[in-house]
Amino acid sequence: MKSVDEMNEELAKTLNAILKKLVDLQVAMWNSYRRPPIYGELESDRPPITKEEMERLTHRIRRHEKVDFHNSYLYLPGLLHKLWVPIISLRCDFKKSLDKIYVELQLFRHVEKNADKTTQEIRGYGFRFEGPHHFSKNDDGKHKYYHVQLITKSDISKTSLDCYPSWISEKIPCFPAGVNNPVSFVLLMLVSLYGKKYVFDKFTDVEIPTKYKTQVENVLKIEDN
Amino acid sequence: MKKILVYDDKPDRCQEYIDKLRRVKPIKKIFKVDPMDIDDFKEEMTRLAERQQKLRKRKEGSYDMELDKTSIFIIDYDILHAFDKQSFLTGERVAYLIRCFSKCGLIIGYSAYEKNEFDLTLKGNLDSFADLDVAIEQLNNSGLWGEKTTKFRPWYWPHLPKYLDSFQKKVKDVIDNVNEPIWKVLKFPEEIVGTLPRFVSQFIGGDPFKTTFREFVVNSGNGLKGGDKNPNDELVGRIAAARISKLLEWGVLQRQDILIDTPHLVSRYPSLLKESRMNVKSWNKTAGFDTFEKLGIHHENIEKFRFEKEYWLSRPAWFWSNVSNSLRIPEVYEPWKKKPVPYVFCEDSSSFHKREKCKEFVADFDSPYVRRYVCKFKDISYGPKTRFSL
Repeated sequence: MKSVDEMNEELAKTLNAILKKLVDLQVAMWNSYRRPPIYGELESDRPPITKEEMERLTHRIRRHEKVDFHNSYLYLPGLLHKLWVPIISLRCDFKKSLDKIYVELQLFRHVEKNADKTTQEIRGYGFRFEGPHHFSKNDDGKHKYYHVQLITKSDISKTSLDCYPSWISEKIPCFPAGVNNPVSFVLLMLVSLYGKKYVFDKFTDVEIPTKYKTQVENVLKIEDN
Repeated sequence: MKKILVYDDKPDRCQEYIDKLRRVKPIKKIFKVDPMDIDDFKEEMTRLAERQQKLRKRKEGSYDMELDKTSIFIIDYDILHAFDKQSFLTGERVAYLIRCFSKCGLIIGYSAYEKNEFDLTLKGNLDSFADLDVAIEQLNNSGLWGEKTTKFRPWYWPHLPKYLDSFQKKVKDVIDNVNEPIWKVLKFPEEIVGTLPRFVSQFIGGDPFKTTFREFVVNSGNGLKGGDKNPNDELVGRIAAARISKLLEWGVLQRQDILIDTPHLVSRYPSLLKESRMNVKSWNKTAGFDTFEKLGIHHENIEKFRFEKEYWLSRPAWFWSNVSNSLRIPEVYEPWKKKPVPYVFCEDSSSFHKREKCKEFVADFDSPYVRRYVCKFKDISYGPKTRFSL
């Protein structure tokens, strides 16, 4: 039976391995012929996180220090024939709690600006994937679980996503994620984009303890019915 | 017996390493090892330069020098000779002249100043015309010459005697197909040619789908250089065989995301192991230079994805994108069920070790599979150190 410290170390190590793999995929994609054209337009305002920055951040995660991507982003592989590009930024503070994780997922694509389709602009929308609110003073107990909600601006980089009408709610709906740890949470986020098979295929060389995968499988069990 | 010639501008050091080479068992069986003295070296270089000039004037020369009969030429890369007042002769220049204007087999460059170092970038040096660069201390490492060893033995080293044999097959392959597209001759599927990294296509030059061996040698800048031109088929054969081999080893296989060799394959798909995955010997059987049937894997499940022109690589390999889509492999159709793997492959020992005893590093290329492991030998230095993960 593993001690609490060993379990915490395993969790940090696994999350780090996933983040490092994502940055490896980003670098490979960035330098390849398959790079979505939109990357070039996004990078000036949303610079991609470098491998070196990721090494520093994962080092902090391992030491349970506060981590914040600030204005750096992890670019994920393009979706739907590279029409959509997801980018994520992350904040966590495992010293306070192993549940204290906040991931922003923003999705961008080109949209024709006018009827004759000669000009395009970038449009996007986003979600926050957030751990349970255990420590909020205003917490009325509603979100004591891992959950997902819409965002109209980035809380990490303080940039806005001018994609929604101003009356859109950032509070509702609040989708329960059905997991109880940050590793399964991040995996679930990736599965929500790419599907189970694609995600675990890409991570075939990453050691992910079975218990984290099992939680994701349990959430997806309906897929197999 | 095949011949190894060694040239070092310091005769005492040269003799010291020749004596060490002569004591290596696999070398004793196959090779005669001799030094080349400075006067012979000067003579050979002068004649190579003459051949170079003749070729520019479309004249053929005869191939009756010592280097033409040499299987492996080992040279100190730090030499700097001024044989005349106009030019300096460096190790790199020598390697170019030998590769392009002699019938020498393999060229190995060594540095006397870079001691036992393992290159964590895993990039090699594609610009160099030497087929392999090693530190002087590793010249007589028996692992380099084909002997099984538990000591330092980088996976990026070929099995030299086998590599020498396959060189002749590559030369023949090029000569028989000198005006054919390179990737077609190597039997690379078109969809994979389209996904090769940019620098690979840049190295070949021209349209990657169409460039022939001859066009590569003449036009790319990575074969004949400058005013050197008018190669006959045999010259194209030797140059292309050496340079494309090096590209395949360092620019393609090393990434393990276009072609993948056996130990990296079983690390991702352990179900391919024939024997027990709890026994490290099962894993280590895959890290050999034998034919694919002897490497202890269910090769029949992935036979149609095997890189057929196996003599073009120093070890068996498969096309990764095809393997990773094969539903005959459990880790492909149910990747979430993959169980943790007890061992990792160490690039510095060419063998598997328990994960907790190894150190992860990040190689310097843009493949998704850049994270590798070393077991770290005490008397070997590893650099650049920034490549180790924090």
